[in-house]
Amino acid sequence: MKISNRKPTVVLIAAILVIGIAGLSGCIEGEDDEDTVVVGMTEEVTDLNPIIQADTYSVYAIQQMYDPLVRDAPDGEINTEGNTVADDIQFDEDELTYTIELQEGIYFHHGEELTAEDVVFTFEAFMDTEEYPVSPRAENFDPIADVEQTGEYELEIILEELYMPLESDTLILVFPVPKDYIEENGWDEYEGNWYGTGPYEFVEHTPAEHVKFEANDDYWREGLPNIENLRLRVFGEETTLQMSLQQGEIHFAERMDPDLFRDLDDVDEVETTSNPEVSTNAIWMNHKEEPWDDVNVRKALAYAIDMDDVIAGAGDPDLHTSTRAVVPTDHPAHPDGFEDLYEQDIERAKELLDEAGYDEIESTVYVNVGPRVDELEIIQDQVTEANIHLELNELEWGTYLEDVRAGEAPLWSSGWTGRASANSQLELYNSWHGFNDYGGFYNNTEFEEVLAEANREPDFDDRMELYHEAQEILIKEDCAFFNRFMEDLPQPHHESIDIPEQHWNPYMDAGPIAYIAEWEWA
Amino acid sequence: MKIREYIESKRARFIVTRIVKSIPVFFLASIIIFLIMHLSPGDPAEIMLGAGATEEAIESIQQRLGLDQPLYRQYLNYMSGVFQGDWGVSIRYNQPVLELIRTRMPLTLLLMGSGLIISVIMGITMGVLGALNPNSIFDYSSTVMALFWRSIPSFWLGILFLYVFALEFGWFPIGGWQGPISLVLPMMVIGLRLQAIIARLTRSQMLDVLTKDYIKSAKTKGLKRKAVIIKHGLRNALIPVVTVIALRVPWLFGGAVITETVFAYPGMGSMLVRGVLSRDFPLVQGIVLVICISAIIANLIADVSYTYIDPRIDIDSQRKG
Repeated sequence: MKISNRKPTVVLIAAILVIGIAGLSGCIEGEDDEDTVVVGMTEEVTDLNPIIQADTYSVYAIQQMYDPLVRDAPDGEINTEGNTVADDIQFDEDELTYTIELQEGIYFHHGEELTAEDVVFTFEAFMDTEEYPVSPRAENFDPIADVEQTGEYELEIILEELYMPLESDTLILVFPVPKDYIEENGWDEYEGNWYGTGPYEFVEHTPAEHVKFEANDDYWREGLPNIENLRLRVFGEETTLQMSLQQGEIHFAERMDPDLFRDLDDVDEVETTSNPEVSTNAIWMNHKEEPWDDVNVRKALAYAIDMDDVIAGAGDPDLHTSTRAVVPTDHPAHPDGFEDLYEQDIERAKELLDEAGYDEIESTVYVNVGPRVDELEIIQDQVTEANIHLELNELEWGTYLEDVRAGEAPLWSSGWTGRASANSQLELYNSWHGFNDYGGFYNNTEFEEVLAEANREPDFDDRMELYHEAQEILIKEDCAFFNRFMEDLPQPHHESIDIPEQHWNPYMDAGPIAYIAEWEWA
Repeated sequence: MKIREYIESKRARFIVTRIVKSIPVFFLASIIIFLIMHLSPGDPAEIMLGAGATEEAIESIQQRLGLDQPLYRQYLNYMSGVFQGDWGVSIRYNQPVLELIRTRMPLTLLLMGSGLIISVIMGITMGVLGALNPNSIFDYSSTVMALFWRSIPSFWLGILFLYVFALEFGWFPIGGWQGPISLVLPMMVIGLRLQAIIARLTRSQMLDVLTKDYIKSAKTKGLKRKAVIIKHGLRNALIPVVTVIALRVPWLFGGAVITETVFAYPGMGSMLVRGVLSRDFPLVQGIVLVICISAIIANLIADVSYTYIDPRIDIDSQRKG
């Protein structure tokens, strides 16, 4: 038999290919370990430094590795239940001082015990705007004059003046970091050695792919976490995320497009759960530019829109609730009479335009490419009847953000996620606030005085009344922006896990994701 | 051939000349990438910190990243770092760019390489068979299939494959990397689209070559049909095909970006998308430089391979050309 002299070459090439593929694939880790709960997210974790907390998704990861000082609760209430590092908080109104007692016997992942020294150090890191890491949330700490350690497990926070949203807007951001380790090794060394006190320890962060954690075996809350391993996994395409959930490759989806979410109604293995979010989804108007500096023009736009129609066409009536208010309906700071505010009235819109001296308006809405565009197209069509002609300028996020903050956008459509306090939804309309530009450059001294008074008011009912008044000025009188709806965040999960009922709560900072340690296999 | 003789050979000199010529291309590409990234709107510090970031926090990040320096200085710093093995630190991930590329590159190379192999094997086979049986049912159906694969956007094809083969049949994992099985569907998406081009080109080249006089004379000399087709026909038809394959290397990276996003495949492409959206200058520059170098190497390989496929091609004439 004649053997071709080419055969060795072909065999060699084939062998190189097989070895190459095997070698390359061997470089990469494969499937999840057993006893791993996988959470699918549409965006990725970028920075795990709890002082920076760059975005919502990074906070999801931080919440697994660190315990918070306090938990979120409706305005003015102290919540030190569950996984909080604080055991007790006492507030002395006359002395403007919070005294915080810490839980004893909490240890960082590298073995050091957490003391008040670590908590004070964490506060100082947030408040320092000179040295790295500079926190984008530093303004939230402005009401604090000083933080002092008064015992091994006790510290005091002294305020400049009475500031009631401190817990829900400031203390909630504090996840204590280990002072000694960071002082000895520096922040750069701390990157990647994320020692917290939380139920999960950091294993690895592979950018644009996942963050992996394993159980902290010495966690101070006995019996937790229930599940040994945790992986936060990123999906660039929501359809893939949805299919992965159906297949059981992931157990929980952090959010999902409403249409894809509804498609899961008929899937037996998936529970279509959703979590109310404290958020404003608005069209903001640039108060520095004509014609939107005129309140009548702003109101004309509001009267020209029928949000129920928009939600029916481009949203989901089960997930989106049309409202002009910025705090949820069941929140004590929600004002009465806002349900019917600015119901569509084309004739009224035309009258208002006439009063402002305009026959018609031509303007542009800046919008980040995504699902909001569908809603805006319906709005664009609706307002034409009132002689308001809108163009849509679809931009990717970076350009959108830069143009809006530079004041180049006449109108823009986006969202603003707050916390449990009314102040977190209202503060950006203070003219002095760092992100007032995002709130339309709104500037009204009366509003600022009422909001400041509300934040200083110790009596709960009186404080809520003042928040109502602030919203009356902002939304009813000035129509500073047009809030479109409140949203329930679609967060479906696989039947293989059980999530405690109490964590589906609108006032929790991140809903069930903040408490993965308490999830169980079904 | 001894090493010295090889070094002095025309082919070796040709390769060295091509590499030297690639250096200005590399620098030009690096300047263009740098300018595009830095002149496009959007501040990485602002994007990183979100809408609620204070001016102080933004300035602090800008200083830390060196973004407050003049553009030319940023470029010089960057390029001097590149040649010293320091490709900078990713703004978004705060990790060395070279390390990020090193960890993601294997999966992307695996995807591109396997997609390329599939496309070449399938494309050339379909093209040759189509040319040998023109206007047959096979020829028509392969033409229709080629048009089909080319016409379908890769993201849609990816979702379709996921739905049918992963979700409905359960043959493959939905996304991510769960071992070599995760490679199959994305590889098919990339491979099928490229094979359509190769098949069409091979077919038309083969049809042209098979009418040449030297094919007729080879047949009349009594050579076996297989030898005529492969040695005299395919070898001559392959030159434009090799050119197209080489030119498609950057396209393969582009295809990998979309395919990796759909399949949640943890390669370099999906990271590039996130890098662009967050204006992560060092990361995007690093990845695009890698793509640029790959394209230069692919073209070099194509040029050299011409001389192997068809020894009549004179290297000197290529050099002059």
